[in-house]
Amino acid sequence: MAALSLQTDVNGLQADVRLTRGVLQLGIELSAHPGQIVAVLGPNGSGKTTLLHTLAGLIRLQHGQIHVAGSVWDSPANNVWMAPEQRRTGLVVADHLLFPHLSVIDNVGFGPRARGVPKADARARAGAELDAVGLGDHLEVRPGELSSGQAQRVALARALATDPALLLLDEPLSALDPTTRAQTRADLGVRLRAFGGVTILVTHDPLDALSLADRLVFIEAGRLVQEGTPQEVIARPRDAYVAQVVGLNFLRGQRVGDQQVDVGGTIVVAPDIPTGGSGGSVCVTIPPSAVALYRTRPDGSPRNTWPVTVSDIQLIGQTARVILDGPFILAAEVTAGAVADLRLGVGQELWATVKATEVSVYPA
Amino acid sequence: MRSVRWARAGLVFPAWVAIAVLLVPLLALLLKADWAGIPAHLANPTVVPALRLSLLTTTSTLVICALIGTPLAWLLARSTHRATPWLRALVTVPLVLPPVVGGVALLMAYGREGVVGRTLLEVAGWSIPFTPVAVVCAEVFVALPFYVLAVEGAMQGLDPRYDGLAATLGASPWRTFRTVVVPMVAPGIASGAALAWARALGEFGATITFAGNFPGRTQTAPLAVYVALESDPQAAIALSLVMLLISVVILGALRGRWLR
Amino acid sequence: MGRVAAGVAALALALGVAGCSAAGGTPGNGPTRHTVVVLAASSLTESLTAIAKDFEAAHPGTDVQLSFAASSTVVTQVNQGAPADLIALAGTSAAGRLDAKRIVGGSRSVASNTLEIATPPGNPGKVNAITDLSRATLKVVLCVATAPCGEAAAKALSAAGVVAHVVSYENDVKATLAKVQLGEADAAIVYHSDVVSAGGRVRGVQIPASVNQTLDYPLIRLTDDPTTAEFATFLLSDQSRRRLRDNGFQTP
Repeated sequence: MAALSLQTDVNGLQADVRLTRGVLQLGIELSAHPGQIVAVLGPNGSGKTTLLHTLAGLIRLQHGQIHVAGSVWDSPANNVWMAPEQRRTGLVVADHLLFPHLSVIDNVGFGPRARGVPKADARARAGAELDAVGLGDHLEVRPGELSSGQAQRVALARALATDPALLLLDEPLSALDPTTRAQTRADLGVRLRAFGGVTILVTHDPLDALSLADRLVFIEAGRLVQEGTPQEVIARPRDAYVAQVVGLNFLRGQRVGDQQVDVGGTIVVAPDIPTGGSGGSVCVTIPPSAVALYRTRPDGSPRNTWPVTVSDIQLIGQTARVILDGPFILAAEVTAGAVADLRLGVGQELWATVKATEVSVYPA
Repeated sequence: MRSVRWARAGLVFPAWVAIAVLLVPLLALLLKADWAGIPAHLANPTVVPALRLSLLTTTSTLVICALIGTPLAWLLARSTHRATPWLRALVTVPLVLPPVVGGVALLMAYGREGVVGRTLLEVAGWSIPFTPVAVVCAEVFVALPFYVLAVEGAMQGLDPRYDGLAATLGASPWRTFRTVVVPMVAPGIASGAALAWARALGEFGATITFAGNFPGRTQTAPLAVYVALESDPQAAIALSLVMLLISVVILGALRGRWLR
Repeated sequence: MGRVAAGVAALALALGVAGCSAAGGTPGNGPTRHTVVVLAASSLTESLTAIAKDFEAAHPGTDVQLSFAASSTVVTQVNQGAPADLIALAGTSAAGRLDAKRIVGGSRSVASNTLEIATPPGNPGKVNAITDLSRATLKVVLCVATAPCGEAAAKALSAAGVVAHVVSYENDVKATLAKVQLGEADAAIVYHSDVVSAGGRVRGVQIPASVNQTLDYPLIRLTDDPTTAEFATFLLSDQSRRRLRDNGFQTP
């Protein structure tokens, strides 16, 4: 359980979310100050959406509390619970859920109207928000006539029109096709930077997290497994899932020497391994591009040489991602040309080598 | 090639029989009517009051069904309580109950000696049978299930996430119901309303048993037709044609816009 | 082409079937049958049911099928071709509407009936005479004017100079009686025979002979089938008369 080492601002979010829902046992501490964008990542079923719904007030806490912008939103111990309509939240989901019977401007104005703002003022506010996402000339259009990217931007404008303290985005780009996604991601980034409240962005896509977020939080089975800035996480993933997200091979082992790590019985050689960490436990990462493949055992310098069997090959453009089964599972990245040269096929036996300098080791 | 044609004929023939079953009696009604004499028949003093009463009571029935039926439909659509299927079955009962039996049940409940009616008489000095209110009661009893089931079906098709989303935007449950749910199931509501109205217009058995038959007060159009049939079949046919025309016009107008 | 042919065939079939049933189900005048179909006024329900059982017991192998409705309804049904061998109506005015072509014989009166006021056992409306019926707080139920009992009740009331406070006109005398039995109506004008057959469930109030109406019950044959003729004769026998008198009718 990672400790919260961040400066907690009373105007931001401080949440200690603990509840059990079916097989999921959620226990997360999360905080952020105004203006921060926090990305929450995790495999399916890890509790990301449940976490979001708890912050929105659609699910009640069983233990813990939620404080936002100086108010208590949920505190079972003190019998305090604020209904969702009273919280200052904005929610954006993957498939926009715009009200089909209302025009774009009425959709965006729905929140202010619901909170008692007079019609003209609500319209003006909605117009301003739509301008901010670049859809100021689509006011009277029906949601059915918008493209998916436009609809998501309207959904964002709708969520922001109520001036929320907490903006919750649940996989906002996942329903978009790749080209639209890229453009909408860029637009989203611009809008989020200008937003003054706390943003919690739940996503599957590492690119969303790395390009939009100030901080990353990883959840697995309802527990927090790692958090940090994008740079920290990319450099030092502390979990197999996190490493997978940032595209690195990940191993756990024991330090057995200045330059040696014992990974399940196999020795991996690395440059000077720092001491410290709990009882010599270390994390080892190897970029896939550093794994070289040979048909016969090479002689020469690499001291990390292992016999492996090809278990899967994925071709992505000019690159191939080859999954290898050996003393441990490794992913190698080779050119499409190499696949042809080596006549790579599933079940083939090869030798994999990694230069010691490419191995990164740090305390677990 | 030939087997395909036979297969098509296999389905087409029964379909035509179904059309004939519906169309033949209606055509017969049109053919057997004494068209020249219709204005005179309609001038009969019981006709206009019967039509007026029918239109008045069915409109009231429709309003009541909408007011109490829409929330019930919402409850049935969204509730996850174990008792919900039983509640839905209860709502279906008047659909399968013979109308006269419904009328007897209404008497047992709201008649002078009835379970509720007795108290109503003692406390308010008011008795429901033999009044237009009784007609509306009978019509609501038989028409409400049609409305509730049609609207519930439409509401079940509504993505439940809209409720939560509207809440995060600041809408209270009542506001959500009013501005999000109801507009989005409007076609289902119109469909249910058309069914309920049609059922109420044609209601006979429960009406005559519970409300009685008194011209101008409880004699609705179907009752007037039944009574006229005894003494003057042509008058009955004339009134039947008027009811047929009204029904066709209203359902036809709705069909284009709401019913699909 | 095939679709149109199928459609025309189906319509023709439907119309043909409709035509057959409309052509009248007069049970043909063929060899001796053992079924007699009787349509009768609803006031004859209890008595005719008992008489029919007597007949079937005395003539094994016969089946008397009874159907009861308001006399005006019976006439309408017969005119529209309902298959019946014998009809018994309340009062002669309903018979006047009968399609003369269908009558084969009969028109003998099998019984007669007078009117009586019926009230619930406790007499909540405190009705003790025909003149009480005009009270505005009462709920009085009569038969529809087109039914014999309704027509007769109207005549009796007008002879007595009473405007009854009516709340409903029921389709036949049994439905009228039912409203009193259920306690929904304070009083109704029905037949004396109905008061008798209702026993303790209803209380009777006499209508003075000076204003009361008497209805004769004509018996009309629609077919000349021998079993029908036997049943018609049986209806005039002493045994049947006893049954009728037990149920409150007067017999000729």
